[in-house]
Parts: sequence; structure tokens; C-alpha cells
Amino acid sequence: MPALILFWILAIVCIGAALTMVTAANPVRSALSLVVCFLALAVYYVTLSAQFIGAVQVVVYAGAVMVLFLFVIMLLNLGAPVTSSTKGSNQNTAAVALGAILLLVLFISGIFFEIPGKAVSPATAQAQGTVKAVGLTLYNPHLPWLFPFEATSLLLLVAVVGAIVMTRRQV
Amino acid sequence: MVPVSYYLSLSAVLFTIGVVGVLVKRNPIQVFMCIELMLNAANLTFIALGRFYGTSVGEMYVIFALAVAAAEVSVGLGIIVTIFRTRQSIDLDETALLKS
Amino acid sequence: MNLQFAQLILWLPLLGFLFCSTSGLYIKDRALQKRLTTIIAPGVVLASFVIALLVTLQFGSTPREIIALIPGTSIYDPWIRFGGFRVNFNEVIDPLSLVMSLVVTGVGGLIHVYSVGYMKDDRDYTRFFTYFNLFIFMMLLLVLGDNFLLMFVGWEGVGVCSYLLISFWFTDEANARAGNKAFIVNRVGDLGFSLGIMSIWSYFGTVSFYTPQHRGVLELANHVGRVLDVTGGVVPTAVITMICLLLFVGAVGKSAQIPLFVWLPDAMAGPTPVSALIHAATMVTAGVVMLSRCSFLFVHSAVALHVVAWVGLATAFMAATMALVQTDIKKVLAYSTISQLGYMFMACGVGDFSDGIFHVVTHAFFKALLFLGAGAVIHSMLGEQDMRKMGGLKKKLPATWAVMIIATYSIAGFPLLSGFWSKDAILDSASRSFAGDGTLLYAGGLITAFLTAFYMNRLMWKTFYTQERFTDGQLHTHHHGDSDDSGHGEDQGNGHVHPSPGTMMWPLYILAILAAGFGWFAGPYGPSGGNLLDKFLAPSIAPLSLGGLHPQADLMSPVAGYLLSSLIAIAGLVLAAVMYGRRMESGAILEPAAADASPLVQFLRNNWGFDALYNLIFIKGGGLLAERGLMRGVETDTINAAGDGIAKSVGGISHLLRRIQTGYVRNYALVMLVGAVTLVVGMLVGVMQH
Repeated sequence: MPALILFWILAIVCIGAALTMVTAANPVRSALSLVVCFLALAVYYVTLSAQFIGAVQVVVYAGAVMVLFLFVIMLLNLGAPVTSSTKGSNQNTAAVALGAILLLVLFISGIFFEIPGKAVSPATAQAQGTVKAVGLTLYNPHLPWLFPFEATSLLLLVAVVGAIVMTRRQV
Repeated sequence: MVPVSYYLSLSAVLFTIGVVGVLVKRNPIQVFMCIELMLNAANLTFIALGRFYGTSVGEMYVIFALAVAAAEVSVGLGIIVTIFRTRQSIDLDETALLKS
Repeated sequence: MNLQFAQLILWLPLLGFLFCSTSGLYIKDRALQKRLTTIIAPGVVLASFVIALLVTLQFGSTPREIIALIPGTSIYDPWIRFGGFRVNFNEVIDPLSLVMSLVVTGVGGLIHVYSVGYMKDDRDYTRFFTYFNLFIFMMLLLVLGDNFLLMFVGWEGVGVCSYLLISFWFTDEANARAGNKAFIVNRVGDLGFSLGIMSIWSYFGTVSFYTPQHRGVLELANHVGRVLDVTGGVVPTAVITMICLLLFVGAVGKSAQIPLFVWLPDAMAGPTPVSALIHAATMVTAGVVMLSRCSFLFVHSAVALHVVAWVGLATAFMAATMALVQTDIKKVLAYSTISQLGYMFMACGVGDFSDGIFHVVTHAFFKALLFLGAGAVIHSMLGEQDMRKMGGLKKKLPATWAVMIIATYSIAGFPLLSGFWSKDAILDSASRSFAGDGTLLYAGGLITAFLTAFYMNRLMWKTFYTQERFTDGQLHTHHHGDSDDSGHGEDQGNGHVHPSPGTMMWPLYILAILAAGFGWFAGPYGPSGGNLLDKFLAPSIAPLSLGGLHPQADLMSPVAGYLLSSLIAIAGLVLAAVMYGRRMESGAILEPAAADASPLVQFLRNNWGFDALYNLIFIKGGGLLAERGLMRGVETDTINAAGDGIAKSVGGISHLLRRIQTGYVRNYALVMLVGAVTLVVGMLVGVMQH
């Protein structure tokens, strides 16, 4: 029962932050709201006994990524709110309508369908999210995660090089 | 113990907010943030279901999604900076770039 | 002499044409050009005639080698290859083509010589001879071609030359209109002819007349009672009838038969030698030549022959009645030509093709003579063509009168002259028509003969006898075409009647001899046992028995027939003389003016209403159909509307679609989302159905 209360509190925080992020005219406010949302999600991950992911969420998302966002906003001096769009109201209406349909569909599929399989005991689940468990799974040569993980490092390298090349003043 | 469908519903809500945000925001940075939100919604699903089944596979996916998101953010923000340098503006609606 | 020389008959006029048409480029001295034209243009035609004569003599002495194909004339072998369609450029040298070549080059050559005098002051002297030589070439191609396609090329070629020469003085709009009329009316016939050729190709598998393998159309038809195609199958009689009738439509157009005769009277707008050569002696007989060439087909279809005979008789009679009331000297001769062509068709229609050709030949002589004589009269009268303003010319133009009287008596069928023999041969054949309607055909032919004699003598009386209805020395100069100072052959002189030069008269004398004597020469009492032409032509002409048809018994003895037709001819001549002689006495020489003429005369003058009918149906009706039906109904309301509608709807749709391409990335993202949502909903529905 405390877990459920925690879930609802976090849900309200998370959804509220997300809505603020979307509705805020100022990008800085959006970014900060998103940080709140990410932190709430990190707490979710911890409650779901995925401690490693929770930590990474805080470090990478709430830390690195959002700092990058704020950095760019400050760098480009985009703090001033962009005037809200006068045209494209059809676009917004359509977007909201489509979003409603999507939400309905996702709800239906998420709530009214019996999820196949059987839930494991919390004790078993607890052991799955530790750093040790994640590391053992990730670096296990008999599981298919090692090579993609190494490839991801290459992807990140390329992204770093690409970002530098693109943003250099003289090409 | 929170039922897994709660997490799925929460994830759906966040994802939808992200989707709508992508479509209504004119500031590309905010659009980017919405995309990040959608990614996180998906991550939540992975973690919740991984927990439900008692497997680390969900976490694996989240790790990859994180890495890809980080790469995407760095490249995407680089693009935004470049666009801003050439056009002195990043308003998506200011110039219809895809219309000749 | 080698038959290969026969090629030159065809090619010499072409050389003349090439010289005349291009001489202006390299001969800057106009007088020299004219002198050279004077020598070369008639020269090539006369040379062709000499060669044709030599070939004919050679041909006559060889033991019945019927067909000489000339492989050397193949420009390509084959000339046209088109899928399975093959046509060779071959000439056929057979009696029919030789006789026609002789007529074309002989009469044509004489008319060329005549034209030298007639056209000598015309500004476009060389252009005239360019067309004339081209005409001779095309006509020779028509008669010498060894397949329907070559014949068709010649057929169209003479049509073009006819058009060019009718509207020779094209600055006068009436002449240009007459040329157009001739050309357009002929198109109707040509359509039939071309359809006939296509039918022949599709049913026979060949369009050649003769081939070395004996697989030509005429050889395939040369079986008693049946016609084969190249593969040996039998062509049904109904198909033969259809082909024959289509070919006959072509002949009707070219030879000015009912209902397509209306162009010929208008064609008199051209210079008189043109009328003589093209619209009397040669081109208009092309239909008869074609029917005779296809006699092997026609004898297999009694129906087609019947149609030919009756159309011929109707034309002969109607045109003769129209000739009764004409006041223009050339118009009389034009209707007379139509009438005589009707006789020829009647001959073909009763299966007597060789006598049809006989009449073609004699008609070429006396009608060319009449036209050239009329041309001399017109020339002397400074372009006046109205007989009401002539009269008494016998004293002034005795030589012209003499040749004209021979031609008149010949065409009227005066005993022992050419026209008598050929016309009587036709009447005799008509009276023995295989279908049993000989009496009717014979009676119709006789009445027409009477009318012929009457209107011809009327022409003579109004032109040469009675007192003068003009004042010598005050003749008006009649302009043809442009009123250019250089003038034309017909407007020279100082208002005086003046005789024609020698180059214009000598051809007349030669033609007069032929118009008088050729009939005897080729007729039943001629040398070498008589019927020389019939015997000569026999290999080219199919006998009626080939189609299982047989002439009926004689209506009367030959001598009685001769007496009867002589009597009729003399009666017609005398009646005209008496009528117009008495009118001279009573002072009523002039025809009543058009307004107060009797209804019958008006009816005849208006071509039995044919021109008015065609005007109503084709020109007014066609115009109405084009304007109301086609332009407004079909084009504006249907085609244009459909086109506009398509354009408009495409435009409208594009207008809508264009709004989709906003260029805003967000809009594209929205569309993407629509797709994504649709997919998700589809997946959900799919899952729920399980």
C-alpha cells in the first residue's frame, strides 16, 4: 500500500512536470520541468528495483543531457519565450485529438489485456537490477548484449565527432 | 506491490504528452525535450515489464536506448546550433524549409 | 526492238517535267528558257509516242506474248515491303496499256504542240508545261503500272495535275474554287478506289495485275466461274461484287459519272488545252481504263456490271439533256464529255470492254479536236466563250470550221465517221445485254445519240452560222485570272477576230483525220478483216463467258442497226439546223434570259438540281452539322468540356493537395503520427479479434 501511494505521488509529479514542460513557453522552464520528470522516473526505476538504471538515469539524463540542453539554450540566448504560434491551430487541435486516440489505444492495450506470463516474486526481481547483475548480463559472452554494447561506444564516438565537426566555426 | 499495468498506463500518458508536445511546439529544443520524454516513457515500460518477468533484458534495452538518446542529443543539438548560426533563428515555422 | 525500251515511254515525260520545273533555277534568260521549254516539253511527249508506237508494232509482230513485265523498272525489289505486303515497281506492257499509252502520248503530244501556240503569251508558260508533262507522266503511270498501287499513284497524280491546271489562273477566285471542287469531289471517288485496293489486298493477298508466277489478281480471276486468292482459296462472289463496286466508285469520281459529275463542267475554268487533254481525252477516261483493266474481276459479278451499265446510261442521258441548254461553248463540250463517258461505262457494263476502249480512243480524237477547235474560236474571239455573242464565224475561221464540222459529225454519229463506228458498237453490245434489258439500254442509247447530234449541231450553228452577233474590231478582251499586263494567250489582239497560228492548226488537222478515219480503221470493216482494235485488245480484256454470262441474241441485223443510228444522228443534226436556222429568220437567236426561260430549261441549266442538292446536303448540311453538331455538341460541350473538366478537377485536387505541402516539419510529423496511430489502432483491432 505505501508503494501504491508512492506511485501516485510520483505519477502526479511526473505527469505534472511533463505537462509543464510541454506547455511552458520558456525553454529554460521546459528544461527544468523535464529534469523534475526525469528525477521522478529515476525514483520509479529504484522502486522497480532497477538501481543501476535509476542511477544512470540521474547521471545521464538529468545530469548530462539536460545540462547539454540548458547549455545550448544559454549559448544561443534562446531564453526569451518564442511567441506562441498564431497559425497552425488546426495542427494543434489535430495533434491533441490524435494524442487522445493514441492514449486511448495505449490504455486499452495496457490495462484491459492480460499480460501473458506470470510475475516473479519480488525477491527474484530484486536481484536482477543490481549493478552486478546488470554487468554480468551485459558482459556475458553467451548472451547477445556484448557486441551491441561495444558497437554503441562506436556510435557515441561518431556522435561526438559529428557534433564537433558540425558546430566548428570554420569547416 | 504496484500492478504492472499502472506503470504501463503512466508510460502511455507520458508518451502521449511527448507526442503532442512534438507536434505543438515550435521551438526545436522543446521538441527535442519532448522526444526525450517519449524515450523515457518507453524506458519505463521496459523496466516495468523486466521487473514483472524477473529478467535483465529490459534493462539491457534501456541501456541501449540511453546511449542512443545521448548520441542523438549531442548530434541534434549540434544541428540546432548550426542552423541557428546560418539562419539566426531556430523557429520551425519561420521558414518552411521543405517548401521550395 | 527490245521491250526494255518501253520504260522510256514512262520516263521521258518525267525528264521533261524535271527540266521544266527546275529550269528557272539555272536558266536566267527567260526567253531562252521559254524556247527550250517549247522544244523539250512537247518533244519528250512526242518521243514517248514514237517509242510507244515502235513498241506496239514490235508487240503486234511477236507471237502473242501477252504480258511483258519489265524487271528493270524496279527501283527497289520490291518497291514497297510492309510486313507481308509487297509491291513491285513494274510496268505492264500489254495491249490495253499500249493503246492507252498511244492515246495519251499521241493526243497529248498534239495538244502540247497546240499549247505552244495557245499559251505563247502567257506569263507562266513554263509552269504550264511543267504541269502538262507531269500530267503525262502520271497518266502513263496510271495506264502502265502493273499493280493497283502504282495505278493509284498515277490516279492521284493526274488528280493533282488536274487541280493545278484547272486553277492555273489561280488569281481568279472562281478558277481556284473550280480546282478545289474538282479535287474534293474526286476525293469521294478516290476513297472508294482506295477501299477497293485494300479489299483486294485483304482478299487476294496481292495487288499486282500480273506476276511472273501467274499469281497476279487478274490471273487469279482468269478462271471460269470462280476467282482464287494467292493461296488457292475461292473468293466469294459477294466479295468480288463489293470490290468491283468500290472500284467503280473510284471510276465514277474520276470519270465524272452520276452522282459525282458536278466537278467536270466547272473544270472548264482551266485553259482550253487543259480541258482538251485532261478533261476530255485522257484523265476522265481513266475510269474506263480502270474498269477495262479490272474486266477480269467485273465479269464475275453480274450485279456490279449491271450497276455500271445503268449508271453509264443515266449519265449519258442526263448530261446530254444538260448540254442542250448551255450557252458557254466549253460547257457544252464538258457536258458532252460526261455524256460520252456514260456511253463508255455502258459499254463496260454490258461486258463489251474493248468497245468501251474503242470509244475512249475515238472520243479522245474528236473531243480533243472539238476542244482545240473551240479553243481556236475562243482564241480568235479574244477570250469570249459565250456562244450568244458569236455567230457567223465560218467566214472568218474557215479552217477551224472545217475541223469542227468533222468532229461534230463524228461525235454525232454521222455514218462512216469514227464516232459512228464506236458508238454503234456500243449500242449493238447494249442491245444484246446479258441481263435481258438490252432493249431499254439500246433505246436510251439511241435517244442520247439523238440529243448528242442535236446539241452538237446547235453549237455549230450558234458559233459558225447565222449572222455575227459581235462587232469586229470592238471585241472585249476577256481576262483570265490576273489582269497582268503580259496577259494570256486568250487576250491578245486589237478587238479583231484573228486566225490562229500554225502550231495551233496542225494538230487540229491531224486530229481531224483521226476523228474521221480511225473508226473505219479499227472498226468492223477496217483492214485485216476488221475489228482490229478488238482483236488487239483481246488478251487484256476478259470475255463475258469467264463469269458465266452470255450476251442475248441480236435485236436486229447489224445493217439495220447502222441504218437506224445513222437515221437518228442525221435527224438530230437536221432538227438542230432547222430550229436554229428558223430562229435566225425570226430573230429569236438569243436564248431567253435565265429569268424568263421555261422551267424545263431552267431545270436543265441547273444540272437537274444536282449542284443545288449537293450545296444543300454537303455544304449547308455539312456546315450545319459541323457547327451545331460537331463544334458545339461534340467539341465544345463534350471534348472541350471533358478536357476542361479533367483539368479543372485535377487543378482542384492539386489545390487541395498543395495545402498539404506546407513545408512545415511539424505538419509532416503530424501526418506521420496519423500513420502511426492508424497502425496502432489496426494492431489493437487485430489483437482484439483473436
